[in-house]
Parts: sequence; structure tokens; C-alpha cells
Amino acid sequence: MENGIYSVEKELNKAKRDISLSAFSILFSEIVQYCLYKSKKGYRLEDALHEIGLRVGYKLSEYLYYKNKMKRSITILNILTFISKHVWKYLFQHSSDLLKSQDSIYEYMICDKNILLNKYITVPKDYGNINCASFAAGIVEGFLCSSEFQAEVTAHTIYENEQNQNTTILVKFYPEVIEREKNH
Amino acid sequence: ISDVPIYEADLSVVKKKDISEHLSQFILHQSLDTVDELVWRSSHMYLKTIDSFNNYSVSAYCTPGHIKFLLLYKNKNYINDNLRSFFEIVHENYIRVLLNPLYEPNGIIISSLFDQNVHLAAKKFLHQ
Repeated sequence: MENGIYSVEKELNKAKRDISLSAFSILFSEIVQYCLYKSKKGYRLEDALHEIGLRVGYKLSEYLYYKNKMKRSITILNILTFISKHVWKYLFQHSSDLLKSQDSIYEYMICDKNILLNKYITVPKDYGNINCASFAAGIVEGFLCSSEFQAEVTAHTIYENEQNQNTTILVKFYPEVIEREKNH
Repeated sequence: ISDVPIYEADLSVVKKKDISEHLSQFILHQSLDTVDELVWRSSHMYLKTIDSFNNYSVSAYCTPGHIKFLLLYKNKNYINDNLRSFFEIVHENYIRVLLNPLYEPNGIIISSLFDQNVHLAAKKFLHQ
């Protein structure tokens, strides 16, 4: 303790403990069921999951930069690379691919094959296109918005076959962000 | 992100002040505009002294989550290292507050440990 200051450094730098897949799956399944319950009251399931993800992303944006001892990101490429590499490694133990859209200057894609969130979720046919990866989209959006890179982030999954699915997190930046990039 | 501060503290050694609280708030709010420009010019978090008014100066620090810490001080020529260390301690304590699941993002900070550590950091790095 230096001069009486209670040092929070140790607390924040704790070695990462692994969490069992079962524990995570049960927690996520309960979250999805909670959002399903909310959807009966008029909220869309994906929106509810997305909103929960926002809070996670908001807090991660501070914590992960501190943990990785990295400086603030001031360019789009910088922050998206940080997300696809470090955030994905922290959450899912592997990094994801970052792509830029050919059609629009506002859009970027983060691609993750067989995203962990959807691993134990099967969507019945009558629920349509519900994608629980919107939780991850919410995390990315919370992360970006809190760092002043306002964007709309959505998740889209293509099911190649029974075993394989390909999830794309689509990041669509607000025009002000692109303008600001150009001016600097 | 509003301009309402989520935390304020008077870190002076001698509590008697020679400028009103309104004036200090005014000077600090003025400097926010400068901070908003500076944050996009460099990726450093510690922005050094960014503004001055009469014999008061404002030093700033911006976190990756764009939370800004502003310090208004009078006259003294602080060594950048001391200011930076002070801000870094505030930053660490802020992260701890943020990671509390019961803390609402952008909410007023009510943690007494945070307040205590900020005062102790001021004592260590600023009151010399």
C-alpha cells in the first residue's frame, strides 16, 4: 500500500480464470429464456439480447484496453482490429476475421465461424430468423459507441449445413464517424 | 454523453478558495471543447495541460471509453509525470467502479473508496 492508497491494481490484473462451458451455457440459456419471456410483452428477443450486450460492451471498452496496456484507438481500423482480435480472444478464446464491405464505406464485417453463443441453441422453424448472436452484436455496439465510434451492429448467420454455420457481425458506422476519419 | 460531471472533488490543501465554485465549473466546462478536439489528434490518454485562465490551468486525461478527467489547479508548475500518475490512479479506480455490475454506466460515482483513493492520490502526487 503506497501512502495509504488502496491499490486496485492487483484486483484489476487478476489472472484470468477459465469458466466451464457448461456454466456459461446454462447462464446464457437462462438469459435467452428471459429475453424470450420479455418478447411476449412486445420486445423482440434479439433486441433484448442486444441491449444486454450493450452494457457488457460498454464496460469492456475500458477494461480490455487497461488489461492489454494499450492506448486509445482513434481510427476505425484500429478499434475494429482491437475488437476482432482482443475482444474476441477474451470472450471466445479465438480471434475473428475483419472485412471491409465493398459496397458501402460505412460497413465493416466481423466474421466468426460457429460462434460459441449459438452452439447449443436450435431455433424452431416457427421462430423464423432469430439469432442469439445478437448478444455479440450488442457487445460490439456498446464497445464502439462508448468509444465515440457510433454504429449500428447486427448479427447475421448463414447455416451451411447441420454442423456448420457462419456468423457475420455487420457494423454500420454513422456518417459523422466516417467524416471525422476523413478529416483527420 | 452529457456534460454533467459524474464525480467532483475539491482537492485543495487549504480549503479557503479565492475563486467561486461557479467560476471553476465554468473554466472546466470551457476546456471540454479543447479536450474534444485533442482526443482525436493523439492516442495518448494523458493530454497534459490544455487550457489556462488567469493563473489557473486545466489538465486533462481521456480514457478509452471517453470518460474525461479534468483537473483545475492554480499557479503551480506540476511535473507532467506527477499529473500523469495522479490521473492513472483515478483511472484505475474508475475502472473498478465501472466493473461493479450494480453501477449504471455514466451514473454518479458514489463509492467512498473511489473518493478516498482520489484524495490520497492527490496527497501523494499533487500536494508537494
